[in-house]
Formats: sequence, structure tokens, C-alpha cells
Amino acid sequence: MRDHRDRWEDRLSDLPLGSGGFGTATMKKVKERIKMLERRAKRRRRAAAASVAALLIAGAVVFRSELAGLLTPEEAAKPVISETEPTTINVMYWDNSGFMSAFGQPFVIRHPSVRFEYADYPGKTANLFNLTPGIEPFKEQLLKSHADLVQVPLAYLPELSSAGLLKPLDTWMKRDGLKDGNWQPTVRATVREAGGGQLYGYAPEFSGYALFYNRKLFQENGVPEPTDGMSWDEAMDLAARFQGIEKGGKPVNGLSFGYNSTIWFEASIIGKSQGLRLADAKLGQATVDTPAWTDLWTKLAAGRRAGWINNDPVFKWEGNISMKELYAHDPFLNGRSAMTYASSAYLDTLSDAGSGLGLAQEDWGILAPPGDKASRGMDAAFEIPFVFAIPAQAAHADAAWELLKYIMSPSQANRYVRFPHGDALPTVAADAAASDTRSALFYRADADPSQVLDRTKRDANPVYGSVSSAVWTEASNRTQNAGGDELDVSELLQALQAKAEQALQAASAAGQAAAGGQP
Amino acid sequence: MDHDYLKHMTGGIDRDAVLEELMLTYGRDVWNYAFFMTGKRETAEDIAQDVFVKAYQNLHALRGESGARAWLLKITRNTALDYFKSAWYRRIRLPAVLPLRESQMSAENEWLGSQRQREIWRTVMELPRKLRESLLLQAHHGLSMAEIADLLQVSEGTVKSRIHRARAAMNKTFEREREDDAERGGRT
Repeated sequence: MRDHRDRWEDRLSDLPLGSGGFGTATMKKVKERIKMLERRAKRRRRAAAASVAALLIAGAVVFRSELAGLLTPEEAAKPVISETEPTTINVMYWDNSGFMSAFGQPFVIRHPSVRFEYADYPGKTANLFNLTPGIEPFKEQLLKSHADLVQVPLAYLPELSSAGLLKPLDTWMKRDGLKDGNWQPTVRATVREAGGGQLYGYAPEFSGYALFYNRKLFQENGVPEPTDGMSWDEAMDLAARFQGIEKGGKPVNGLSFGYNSTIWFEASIIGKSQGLRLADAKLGQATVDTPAWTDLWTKLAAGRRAGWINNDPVFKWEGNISMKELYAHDPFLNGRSAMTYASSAYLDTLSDAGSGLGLAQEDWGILAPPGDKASRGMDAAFEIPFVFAIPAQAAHADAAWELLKYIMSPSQANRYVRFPHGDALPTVAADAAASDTRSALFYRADADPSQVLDRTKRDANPVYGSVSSAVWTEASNRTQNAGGDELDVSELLQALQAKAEQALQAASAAGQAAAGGQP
Repeated sequence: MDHDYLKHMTGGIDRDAVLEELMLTYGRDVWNYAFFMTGKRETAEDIAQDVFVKAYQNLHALRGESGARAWLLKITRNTALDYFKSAWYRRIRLPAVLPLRESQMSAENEWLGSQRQREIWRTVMELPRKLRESLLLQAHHGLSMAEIADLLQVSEGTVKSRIHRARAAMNKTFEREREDDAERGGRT
């Protein structure tokens, strides 16, 4: 009879031997020892700098052969990029030091012969939330640069790939036996859609939205728990059932949107999740004063007026404020709100602050987000900010491909979740996510790839950007002092429509729509 | 503009960042290898610390390596061999790679996991060091024959032979235990 002893060799590779052996305590000790050694060395240097220098010179002469042996690099064990010569990879990324800390540094310790150079990212104002300077400036900079690996906003991927400016990756994937089966499915489908069915880039991160709910509040108040993929009407009807309920002398809300939420912010994110837009596809007509937007604003105003949507006044502060203090103003974290609609980044917030503020880990659940009735369970706000791609003219394409392979690896995903940055999740699920049913929701999030791509292109369009900015600035100005009672939705939307039309006309007059408009 | 990363590793914050990265990525590899070499947790802990202190002091040498993992394993091996040579180690060394009495194993028991896992690992740790080392470099660390040969500074043929002998010894031990089990089963 066969038993575990027949499979002993397999067990050696995956047994958790030593899993408790090397941890933060050991790392701390190493750092302390280094600090101590450096302090000692410093003292010695101060005490006898001159004689040490003399000794070093003498020593270098006497022991030159031994020193040479010590300083000569040991032979490489396994050549991956180059055994003997430095390999340079030129990178075009919006933030050089950010690239180094997120991707370059872990790659260098795996491939020490690699050096990085940087090409300027187009647009002087590029930042994490604005990577889109316009397709023409981007294309121009791409052609001018010597980049081997480029951060390409997803919105530009269709045009750059169809223009032959990027290398197709499928052949390399096949050659190296790489599969895309462990990528988030919507990310995989959308990136392929952007490349007309071919793979031209790897999107290392994405973000999705979900409905987070407080189980305890639902149970205590006899309200049936929400379900996966409700429509926004259903979610709001459920939230309205908490009207008038109090806990500990404070009102309980059915729905909230984090700390310092405003009605215009809520209209903006819910509208996005319903596929509502501020202007038509050709950017010829504003679409703000429409029945769909009217319905949304009216419901939000009613909910805030009645208190089933949180209507705490905006919290103002001066100087620095800690995240802990800000979290204290989030009704959901405080156990005062039955539901909240938030992005995948909220998982970290809940993990950091939830338990400390009164919402225990076992008290909350997570569901596919509310959305449009016609596409239940889909996340219309799903976002893929950018891909890494290899330019067709890259001089070190093979080395860039090795780097890209590392960026796609589960090791990088595990590292990414240890040092999270921004609001996104890694496209390849980290080990920790595999056993976490809550983050798993985002790894099965479904969205229509064409819609994700269309929205991304629209958001990257400078004309649409100017409309968006004009509308939400006006909305903010007009609603900042108005509670639900005073808000005249019809008048507000007429004003926002006028602002949107002005922005479209201004763009048209400036020739933006024709010159740099369509990405 | 040249942002040659390793050029800056001789001073400043980047050096600390690289150390952090090395420990996070390869700390467990280093610790496990040290344990496989010595069979003692406390010694593995000391060696792992020494390895990263040495790595920090010699980061410039990493430039000539094809990978930090191989480089760190080399330092680990040399550090472990230095431990074996030291008079201190010879004086206090316990027969850790030999079967321990149950009372001595209680802490290790919990740490090593289930009875079956323990049984496999105990058998591996009872192998002579050279056989154990080659076997685990392949089966646990996933190194190729060439990489193991380079690390141990022996020929690939020697590595193959050691792994073959290690496998044979493991199989023989398990075969004997199975026969014992069958005999005990027959008696009851």
C-alpha cells in the first residue's frame, strides 16, 4: 500500500519548513547589528582617521592580491540577462523613483547586472491620476525616446498597437510557456480587446467597486441583507428602511460614502457605475440635464434629507490630520451605516481601522456592486489605469521582456500587497488573496471590456476632461452649503448642463476636439 | 541621465532599501539553507543574521552576480562551514542531525507541523550533510544541477551521485519503516 512516504520528495518542496524561522524579528536584529557595526566604525574612523588611512594604503599595497580576490565578483551561477556585461533598460514611467521602488528594485536584486535609465514621461503634469497628456504628445515622445519599457495609459493602447508602435507579446508568451490564466479575467479580456485580440501590454493593477454591508445592523433591525448585484434602485430602497433608526442615541444611516462625502461626489461615482455620461459620444452635446441624472440626483437629495443617506456636515480641519482622525468620521467604519459603496482600496481601510472603531471583521460582508438594471452584477466602474508595453523600436527588447515577465509574476504580486500603493489590486492575485473570500470578489469582478475601454478613452479625452471639471466644480459650488431640503435638482441640473455646454463650445473654439481630442 | 541603481548602493538610503528587499525576498531561503546545513534552529538564526550583515557590507559584489539568491546561498554556505570549523561550534554541538529523544523534540515538533511532515523531515535531516545538502538544494530550493555544482564547487557528476545516494537512503529508510509497520499490524 502506498502512503505519504512514497511521495516524500514532492513534500520537500512545499512543506512549510522554516516558515517561522525568518521573520521581522530576525530582520530587526540584522538592522540593529549593522547600525552597531557602523557606529563602531564611525568612532574608530574619528579617533584615528589619519593612521587608518595610512594603514589602508599600506595594507592595500601589501595585501593587494587578497583584496583583489575579495573585490572580484564571484562567478555568476545562472546567466539570465547577461553574465558579464551590464544590461541597460530604458524605462518611460511617470515617476522614476516610484518605478524603482515598485518594480526596479526587486528586479535588480534578481538581475544585478541590470541598470536603469529613464526617458521623460510626456506631459509636465503627469501624476498617478492623470497619465494622459493626449495621444499625439504621447506618441511623439514615445518615438523620440529610447525607451525599452513604457507605461502606456490603457486609453492609448488601441491606437499605439494598431499603429505598430508596440511589440506584440503573444509570441514571447508562447515561447516562454507563460499563460495569462492567473490574470484577473476582466483585465485580461480588456487588454486583449484594446489590442484587437492580440496582447500588447500587461496591466499590473486594477481597481473595482463593491457594496460593503454591516451584517450586524441588518440583523439587529430585522432588515433583509443585501444581495449580489442589486440595481441602485433596490440598494436605495433597502437603505431607506433604516430611516429613523438610532443606535446609542445617534442616527443610523442606510447608506454612506466614506468620510467627508458630498452629494456631487455621490452623484459622480454612482453615475459612473450606471454608465451615465456628461456628454454624448461625439462630444457635441452635453448630457447632464437628462431623466437618468435627474432621477439619481433626486434620490440622493431625498435620501440625505430623510437621513437614510449619511448627511453629516463636511468635516473641516486645519494643518495636519491623522488617518485615524479621518476614519473616525466614516459612518460605516463606526458601525453607524448599514452599507457603503467603495473601491477595492476600502479593504485595506477596513482591515486597518474597522476593528478599532467598532466594526469587527466578522460583522461586515461584501457584495458585487449595485449598478444598472440591464447589467446586474457587472462592475461598470471597473478601472485599469495603464499597461506596461515594449515599444517596437526598443533596443533592449529582450531585457525589457525579462523585466515584464517579472512584473507579471506572482512574486511581484506578493510584494505589491506587502507595500500597497494607490487604490489598486495586483492583476495576478497574491497568495494572501487566494484564501481571502473578500478580496476574491474583486478577482471575479465582471465588466464589459468594450465599456471599460470606451470609458477609459472618454476619461482620457481632454475635451471630456474639461466638461467634467466644469460640471463638478459648479456642482460643488452650488451644493456645498445646501442640504437636501434646499436643493432644487431641476435648477441645479440646468445650471450644470449650461456649464457643460460652455466647456464643449470653448473646446470646439480652441480646436481641441479636432487636434488632440480623440485618443 | 543615468540612474544606475547599484552605483548608489555603497551609501545612503538605497543601500538600506536593498537590504530590506533582500531579506524580504530571500530571508526564508537563507534561513532554511542554514538550517539544512546545521540542523539547529538557533544556529540557523545566527547564520542568517551573519549572512545579511555580510551581504550589506559587500553589496558592491552583487553587481558581478547573475542573481542575488545564488549569491546569498553562497554566503550562507561559507558562513555555515565557518561555524562547523569554529572551536565553539565543535564544543557545544549537539547531535542535532541524529534522532533526538522525544522530550528534546517538543518545540521542534510543533514548529515542523504534522507527524507525517515531521517524519519526512526527520529522515532528511538524518542523512549525512553532503547528501542532505545536495538533495535539498534541488528538492526544496529548486536549483539546477549546474547551479548546485557551482555552489558546492564540485562537478555535476558528483552532485548527481550525491542526490542519487540521498534518494536511495531515504527510500531505504521508509521501506524499512513500512516493513516495521506491517509487522506491528500483523501482530495486533
